[in-house]
Amino acid sequence: MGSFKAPTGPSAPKASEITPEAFFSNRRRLTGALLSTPGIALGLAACPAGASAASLAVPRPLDAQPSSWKVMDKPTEEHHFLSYNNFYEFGTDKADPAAKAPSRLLVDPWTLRVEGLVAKPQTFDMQDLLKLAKVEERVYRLRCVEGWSMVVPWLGLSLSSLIKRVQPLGSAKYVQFASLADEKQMPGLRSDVLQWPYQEALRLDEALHELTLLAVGAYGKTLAAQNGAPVRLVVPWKYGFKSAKSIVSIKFIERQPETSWQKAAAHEYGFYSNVNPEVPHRRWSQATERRIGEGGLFASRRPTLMFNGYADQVASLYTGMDLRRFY
Amino acid sequence: MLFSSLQAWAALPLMLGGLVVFGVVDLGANPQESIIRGLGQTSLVLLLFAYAISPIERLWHLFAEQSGRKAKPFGLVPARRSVGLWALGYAILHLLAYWLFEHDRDTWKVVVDFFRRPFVTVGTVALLLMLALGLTSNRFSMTRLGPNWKQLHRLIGLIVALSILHYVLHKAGKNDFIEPAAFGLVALTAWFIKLKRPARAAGQ
Repeated sequence: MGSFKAPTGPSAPKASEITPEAFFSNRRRLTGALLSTPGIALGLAACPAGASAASLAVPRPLDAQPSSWKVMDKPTEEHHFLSYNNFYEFGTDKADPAAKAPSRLLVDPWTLRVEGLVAKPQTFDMQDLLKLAKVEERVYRLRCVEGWSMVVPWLGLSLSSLIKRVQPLGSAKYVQFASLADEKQMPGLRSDVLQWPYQEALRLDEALHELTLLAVGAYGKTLAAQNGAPVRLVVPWKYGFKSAKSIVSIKFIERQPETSWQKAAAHEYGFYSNVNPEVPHRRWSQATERRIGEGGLFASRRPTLMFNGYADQVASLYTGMDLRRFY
Repeated sequence: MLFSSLQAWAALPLMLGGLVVFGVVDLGANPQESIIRGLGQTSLVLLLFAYAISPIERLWHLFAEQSGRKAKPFGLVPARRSVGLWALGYAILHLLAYWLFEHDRDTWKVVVDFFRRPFVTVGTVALLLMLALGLTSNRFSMTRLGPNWKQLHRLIGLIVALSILHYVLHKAGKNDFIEPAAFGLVALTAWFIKLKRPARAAGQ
């Protein structure tokens, strides 16, 4: 028995319903924009005829193989995963992404550019990505730097399968990820809370680690817009913000880059940002976490685990490093 | 009347809190965080309102003078004490919720936070000052303290400043200053109107 479960119940869309619905809501959105804003109307008029076929992210069932990466904690209820998000491109409130992303983020067609110090730079579309390896279901802990956590059944493939395809050169030491930054789709870009596009990065050996996942789905379906559709990073032993959403580019570089959060507040958000209960954030302790949906209102917090519980797998990546200095 | 129903208005979020505890109202994925923040924000709104009552009265007076009508009081001043006490009440609940939800009732951790985290230090100092004002907000203290009472209660300006600083420091981690900036703008406007007052009073 695999761990993959097809969604059931009244919320599960029939396969036949999905595409027309996506087109319908998208067209309605575009028509609305056309009527209300002359600027956008002009922009659309200048677009090639096929452009309006771009579609929104409607989660649809996705087949996946079970994998051995499966924590025993109870998965977080899906409605929490879908409603409590940090995706600043759609606003800084936790409810903003769910309110704004599904009706705005266009995910099809999608291209992911892989470039920099590689032998075979390549632009992938979603079909290409899904051909790199079999999609697996992996149940990972997710620990946000803000002190809350979830347990998420992701669907995706090891980032290493993509990295091996493009063949990094010997000089490539770091891998930089950039999220989509399109003001037409993302109202949060008007705010200068962060520098856009959102940029994250890993050391090459971290990126090659088997746990590092290129996620294309969760809870048995393709990703919802607010969770970073159609393709995002998941690095389970680091704070959640390292796992960039809606990735459009991956670049192999020689020197350690500055990430968006480092640029915003370097003394609070380090390059590594490994989950570490012993290194507090400036504003709060990281020793415990609130597991979303666990217990009642007065439930206790959980102790946070070193490397989010993945120490056996990843501690060796940091041998000899002072983790207080390289936080 | 407006100010007699103010107490009921201020109690509204508290009743909402009761509904949350009994599971009638859903506060989303992280109810503990919503409660801590909601209580803090409610306290700050009420505090700012208490602070703004005399400037509102002043503006009302000026407006009446300009339009040549006889100046009647706007009528908020009698409500100031209860609004301030409600602000204090919510601030205490805010601290209790923080002790309960952030530190699982471990008082020592709150003490450590006070010394280690500036935003907690600033917030706690504001709360202690507010408590001093609340405890002396009765008629007995007014007569007992005499002219010092007014001096003491001028600290509301400092409390407002510290509370907004507390909010700014809290938001600094996320580099997101829109809300504290809005509160700051209201406070500065009220402060500016208050500044104008003594000069005018002296000229009378």
